[in-house]
Amino acid sequence: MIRATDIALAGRLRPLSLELERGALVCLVGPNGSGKTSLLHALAGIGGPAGRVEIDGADVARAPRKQRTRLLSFLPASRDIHWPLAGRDVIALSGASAAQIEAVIDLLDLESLTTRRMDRLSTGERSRILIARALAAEPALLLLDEPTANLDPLWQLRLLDLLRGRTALVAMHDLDAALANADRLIVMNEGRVAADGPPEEVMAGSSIGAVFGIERSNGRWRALGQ
Amino acid sequence: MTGRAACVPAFLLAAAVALSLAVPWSDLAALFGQDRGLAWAVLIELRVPRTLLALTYGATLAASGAAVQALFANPLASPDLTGTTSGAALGAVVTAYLIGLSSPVALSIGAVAGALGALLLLLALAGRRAETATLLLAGLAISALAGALTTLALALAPSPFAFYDAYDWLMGSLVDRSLAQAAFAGFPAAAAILLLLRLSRPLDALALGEEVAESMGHDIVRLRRWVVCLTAVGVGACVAICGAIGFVGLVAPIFARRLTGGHPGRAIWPAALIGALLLAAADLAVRAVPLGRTLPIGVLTALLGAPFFLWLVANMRWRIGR
Repeated sequence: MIRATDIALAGRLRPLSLELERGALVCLVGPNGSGKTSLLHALAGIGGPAGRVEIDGADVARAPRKQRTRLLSFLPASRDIHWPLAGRDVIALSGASAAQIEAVIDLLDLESLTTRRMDRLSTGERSRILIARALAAEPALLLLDEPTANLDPLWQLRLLDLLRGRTALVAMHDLDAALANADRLIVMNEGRVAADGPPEEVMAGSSIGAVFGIERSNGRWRALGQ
Repeated sequence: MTGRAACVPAFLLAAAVALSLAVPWSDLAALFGQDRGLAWAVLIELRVPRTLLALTYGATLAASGAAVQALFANPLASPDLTGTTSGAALGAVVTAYLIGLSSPVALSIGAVAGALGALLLLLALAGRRAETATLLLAGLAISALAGALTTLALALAPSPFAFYDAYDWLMGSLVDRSLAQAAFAGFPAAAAILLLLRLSRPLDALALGEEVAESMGHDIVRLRRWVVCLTAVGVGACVAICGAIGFVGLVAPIFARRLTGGHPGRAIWPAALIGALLLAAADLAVRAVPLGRTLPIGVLTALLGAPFFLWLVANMRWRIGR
């Protein structure tokens, strides 16, 4: 069980508490600037502890660094790496064991990319390497900011498939993909949780329309009032 | 970096040290000849401090350069281009102006304070993850300001001799320093390098971006504070004794990262090795140039380093333009 108590970031995230079941794929949706990334940052302890985050009873802020890589990992929305490192070296920076690194390279079919420098890969290829970095140490909680962005349709499907069964909080913009894959959907708006529950229930409720200003009719999303 | 790759700079460094202590060869023979007292005095009073200073100053500039480059995520950051060396020089000149050149402790403290001031100003001006243009412009502004204030302090010097002494020192030189002076630069510099080496891992993690490094449990604010303070202490202590020497801190980390597969943090120790080698080799070259008087080593490193810097800038431009 993952339990976050009274987490908040001044000006970006109102105080909230959250519990995540182990093994649940939780999708986080919301308009630009609604607080999705801020929630991920607060849970990952970026910018200092923003409340108490416990993973299987362990306080993340107090965990030694070695244990922390097994507790959580964070994938930022940016796919830039400042130094011309090889793909395998980027994955190795996760602190994962050699066996875990080989396993994740296999899982994401990265063998041909691991010896190439990051600055010579396409954005989508870089994304896969960075996703592998986040998955490699098999952390208890994955915090992923738009992991499907820049991936081709096949890899979007594969990624969401392989996230199933892991505990992941995934910020994304594709409502249909969230509906199809999430075990639970959280809608963020103006730094607070606007809706939270099983995806079908959340989509059927009024919050999606109120938050995004869109509605679903005849199987397609449209702007409200059009 | 593999053991074999490390052997090359280590072997070259050992050769440079041996040459630095033994050239000209006739002096080596004199150590066991009739006038051995004088020969040993030359070795211990002149050669050893000079070699030690070349090694520690080169290693300090390079290790600081590697750490500052990793911190700013920019291969063009280095103690001289970021204004740290100029800040240290200003600190030392102001201290010398106020209390004279006689106290190396006061000079060192003044230089460290100047370097620290320059680095803090750079952080404030260029921000945490500095774009190349911002970093270079901020560094240029700090260097210009420190340079102008240094010249002002020299212009107000009480006597032309004091002016000449300070000017000679500013150009960077390893000549005629005592063992005590070498120790004044060497101990703080060695401590700074050893502590910088301990930051290799978090600086490597920083390659993944500040957010990821923080999510992995690295305290970035503390890391930044350590790199800034250690760079200021190391560079400041060396500048106080040997004056300003440029470009080693820029060039050595670039070669070092080639040995570490691009890892910016673990490049610190090979950079230190290469920096020590470069400055020891530059000092040998300075001695070999028949100019009538010894060429200041800072002039030689600038003459060789500036074209390298231009090549680096052009190379980056081509890559961006491609």
